[in-house]
Amino acid sequence: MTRTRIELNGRVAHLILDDPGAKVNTLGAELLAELAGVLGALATDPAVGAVVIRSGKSTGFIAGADLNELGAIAVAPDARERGLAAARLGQALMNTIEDFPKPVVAAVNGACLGGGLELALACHGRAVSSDPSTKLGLPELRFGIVPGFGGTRRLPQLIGLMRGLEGILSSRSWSGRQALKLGLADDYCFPEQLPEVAEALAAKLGDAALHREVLAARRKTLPAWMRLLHLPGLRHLLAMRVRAEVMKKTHGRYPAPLRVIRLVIGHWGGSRDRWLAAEAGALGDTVSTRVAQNLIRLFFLGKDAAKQAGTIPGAAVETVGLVGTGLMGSGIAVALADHAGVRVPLKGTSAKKLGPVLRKVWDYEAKRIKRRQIERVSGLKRFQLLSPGTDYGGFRNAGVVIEAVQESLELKRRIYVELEAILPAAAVIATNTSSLSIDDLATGMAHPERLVGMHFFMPAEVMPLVEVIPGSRSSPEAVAAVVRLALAMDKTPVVVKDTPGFLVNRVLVAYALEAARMVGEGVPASRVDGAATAFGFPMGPVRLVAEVGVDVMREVVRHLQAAYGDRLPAPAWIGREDLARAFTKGRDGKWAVNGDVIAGWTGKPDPGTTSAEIEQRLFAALLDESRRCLLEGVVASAGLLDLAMVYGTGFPPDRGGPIREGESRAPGVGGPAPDSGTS
Amino acid sequence: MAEIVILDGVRTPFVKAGTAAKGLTAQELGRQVLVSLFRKVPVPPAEVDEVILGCVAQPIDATNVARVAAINAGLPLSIPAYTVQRNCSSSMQAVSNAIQMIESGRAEVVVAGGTESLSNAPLIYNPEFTEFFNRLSKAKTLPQRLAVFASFRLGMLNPRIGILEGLTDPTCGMIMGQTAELLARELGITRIQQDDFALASHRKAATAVSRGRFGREIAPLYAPPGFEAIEADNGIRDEATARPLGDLHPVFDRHHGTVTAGNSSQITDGAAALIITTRDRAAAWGIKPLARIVGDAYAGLEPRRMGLGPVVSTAKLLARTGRRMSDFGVVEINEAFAAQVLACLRFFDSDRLSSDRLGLPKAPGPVNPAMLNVNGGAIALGHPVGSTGARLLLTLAHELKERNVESGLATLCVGGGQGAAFALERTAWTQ
Repeated sequence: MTRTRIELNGRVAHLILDDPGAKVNTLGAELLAELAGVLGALATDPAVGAVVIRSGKSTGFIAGADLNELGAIAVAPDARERGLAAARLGQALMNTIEDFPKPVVAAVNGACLGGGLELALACHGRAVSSDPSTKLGLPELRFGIVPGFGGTRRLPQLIGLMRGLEGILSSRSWSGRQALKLGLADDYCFPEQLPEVAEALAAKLGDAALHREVLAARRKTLPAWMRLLHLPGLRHLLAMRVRAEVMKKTHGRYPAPLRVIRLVIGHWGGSRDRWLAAEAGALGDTVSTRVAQNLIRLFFLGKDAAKQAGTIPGAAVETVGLVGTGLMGSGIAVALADHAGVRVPLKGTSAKKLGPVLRKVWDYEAKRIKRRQIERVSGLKRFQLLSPGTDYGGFRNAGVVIEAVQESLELKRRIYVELEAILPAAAVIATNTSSLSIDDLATGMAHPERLVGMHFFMPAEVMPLVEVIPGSRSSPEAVAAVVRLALAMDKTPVVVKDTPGFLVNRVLVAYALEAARMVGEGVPASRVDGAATAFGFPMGPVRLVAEVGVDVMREVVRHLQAAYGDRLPAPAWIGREDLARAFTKGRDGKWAVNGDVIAGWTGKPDPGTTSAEIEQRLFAALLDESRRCLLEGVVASAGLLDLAMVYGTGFPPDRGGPIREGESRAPGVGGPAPDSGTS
Repeated sequence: MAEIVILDGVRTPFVKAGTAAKGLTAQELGRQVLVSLFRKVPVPPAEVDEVILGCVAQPIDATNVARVAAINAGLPLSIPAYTVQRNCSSSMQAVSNAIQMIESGRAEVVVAGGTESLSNAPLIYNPEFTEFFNRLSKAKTLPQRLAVFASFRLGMLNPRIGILEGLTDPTCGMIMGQTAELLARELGITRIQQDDFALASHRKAATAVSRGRFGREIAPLYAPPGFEAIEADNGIRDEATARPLGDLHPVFDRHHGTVTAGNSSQITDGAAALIITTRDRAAAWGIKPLARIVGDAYAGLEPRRMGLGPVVSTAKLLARTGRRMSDFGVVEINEAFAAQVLACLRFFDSDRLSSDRLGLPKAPGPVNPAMLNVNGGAIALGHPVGSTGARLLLTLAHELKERNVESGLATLCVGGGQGAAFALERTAWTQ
């Protein structure tokens, strides 16, 4: 017995989960086995009248399944069988808890996710804490699998069909307070009061009359109209609507959400054994899919990305200066204030340009306050991290300065001279550039080793990828500091080489130019975009040109053609002065492609290229350039390349990334095959 | 004794109440001015010993507005902060407190200033309506409630207007403008003299703006919802709009009065903050201070004639510091009302008035009109009551350098029958 311990308080046994070998508790096979043994003993121990299950860690209750185990199952040749067996094992324990002869209460403080929530759901009652870290949810769908420890049954049974289904399908989590309102929790208290409150709840559950009261209170949390949806006809109507929504979002490329709907609707009101058997089957089926493999792999790649900072120590950065007030600058300001929680002295060229940055940050926080994601006070605090000005006042203590002014070598160099005059010696300068070479930019600096590229993607407050670009003279300490800052901003950093276009824009342009060439050959733009969205991209490559901005795109293409010459030929129409006419901005702010205008320019008849052929050509272009980047060492591994493309371009995550997708396709697709496999 | 200095300072633009800055509370104005102060002055915030802000209309949701502003500005939580209130001299009082703390060895670096949002001065339910609410909450049964509702009268909805009641002296029952009317009547100060004085204030302020004089004092404000930058004082009228001052009706004596909205100070939002420290500490940072503080004085007089506060307080200041009026190359007398400043000028120059009416041994001495409020005053710039004192000191300190004069006087009248006065000095080691 190593992962749990028992503390007896009167007749209440506190079963405390505390894995000494880990920072957080996860629900792996060993803990499951240990819990089964412990509970077996408690069931028959006459000195024990009730059980409270809680965590001995400050980091949370149970963060979820052991993802290492899950990852190993997903790639095993007998994944289906192993998944099914794992589900059976977990379900057996949960049934033991549900059928336990004495009251069992889960006392939840901190993360209670996935298998953790499934365990709490199997308990007879739940007390949750008000701590902001308290989160309850079933996020399994994020990993392409269905909840497999009875969650598909117990969650909707407890909080209602509609809310339960929505909770699983959205992978959302609930705060302690929300859990109480939903009936997911029976009591709610400050973390310090939790053991006592859980004991009181256990005592209530042990008394027949009080037990009925608890159940009645739970029932009251479900509005009558939602209960109506449990009726056979309405239930199936609800299923149709939910299914249609899922299809609209995923185009059926993710099997797990569809399985969840089928499970819940098909077994509603049915026997536990049959429901759980079907659930175990669904876990086996989904965990063995490529989608699950890819999503779990991306999760671990994200962890790899965090390791790029290496073991180089660095002082904690409390102040991050920001130079630049454009779209990028203001997006970065949001990410800094909202996520990193650092002080942000902001420099713009005039007060008039600074105002909109403040507005953007405040509007962002105001929206979060309105949606009740954060308290008003903490939204204000985040906003107040910004201090605007037209000089470098406040930059004196900055550990890092992000420079995000327009792409002008001269301007940026001038700013570095100004910055070096006032910054402490150890301060790092991160430049947000998409087209300038870091080595060029560092020329003339007193300390070129402090300059590192930090390429954000538009819109910077949303897009998770940050390319970190060391120049040839950048110090490892500076690179590590920028990687750490990106992580603090909740971004995914990928270190790439200082080559034209770096990684993502280079691959993206190769792909977009292939699309443009097809359009030049007469293929309707709508069909090209349609093939890309069917592939899983959030938008087609032609519309992407408008979203990125015609001028920006032209500049990027020009820059990359200068570097890569004939390998990236552009068709005539994309170089037209009046290219902007090809696009119209809709009322919703989204761009539409005027296919007829483009067809008029190219003057070619539709060659009748099929959607499959279009997809094939688009992907081949993308894969070819990706493999070249890998061979040239632009990025350290195929895994990081895949991660960058998923987080930087919206490459469909279920396909795992270009290299991963390339492996699954017939060999010979695209350019030279690299000898390195997926990491 | 340590030589005490104004190291540096900054103020927000002074913004007419109800206009661009109405979305900013006093605590937010205070936060922004503190943020600007520490962007401007390279003093590590951690070395500050105390934050003191003046505020007259203290916000009900930020009862110690100085502390709220300091925390929200990101100053270390270990630095204590408090709010002071001495009506229009509140922020001068903040500086005086700083001086006392430093002189007594309780502090070495103090942020002193003021913040005021008169846009956000509250309306209050009148006592009848408050009583109505009380009865309603006590009524339990439906008939009882109906009976309470039946007692409702429209007149109950008349609010108590915080700003009007705040500007009324409860000890003499006069609103501030009426005290100015009294001085105008007693001294025979005409409407035309007052309007001319007001016009001159606008002209001087407009000239100062046109040559960028306030750029050294002002840091922009950003006000929701749009967060457009407010970069300049917005109460200054140009020639075209200043001339029709004569068309305005008197406000405080509607029949035969002479005090109008045009020849009184404006109701304004704004904040100002200074760093008060010692000469030695400034030298240790390698920063040349703006000015040395020679001394300060407060004095009381009849509340009905509070407008003469500058006369009594300056007399006290001169006696205490051994200076003479002729030593001051620049003088700032806060323009609460044109009539009140003009009255002060007569007293300053008349032993008879000063001794007969104020009981002073003699008049402080004449003020050269060319040296008075050279960049305009509160009639043009506005009067955010809790911040004005610090604004006067900041403007005066800059003006000493601007005019290359050795010392200057800043003084103001205070509702309730008081005056405050400060003498500042430039020396070889100041800016």
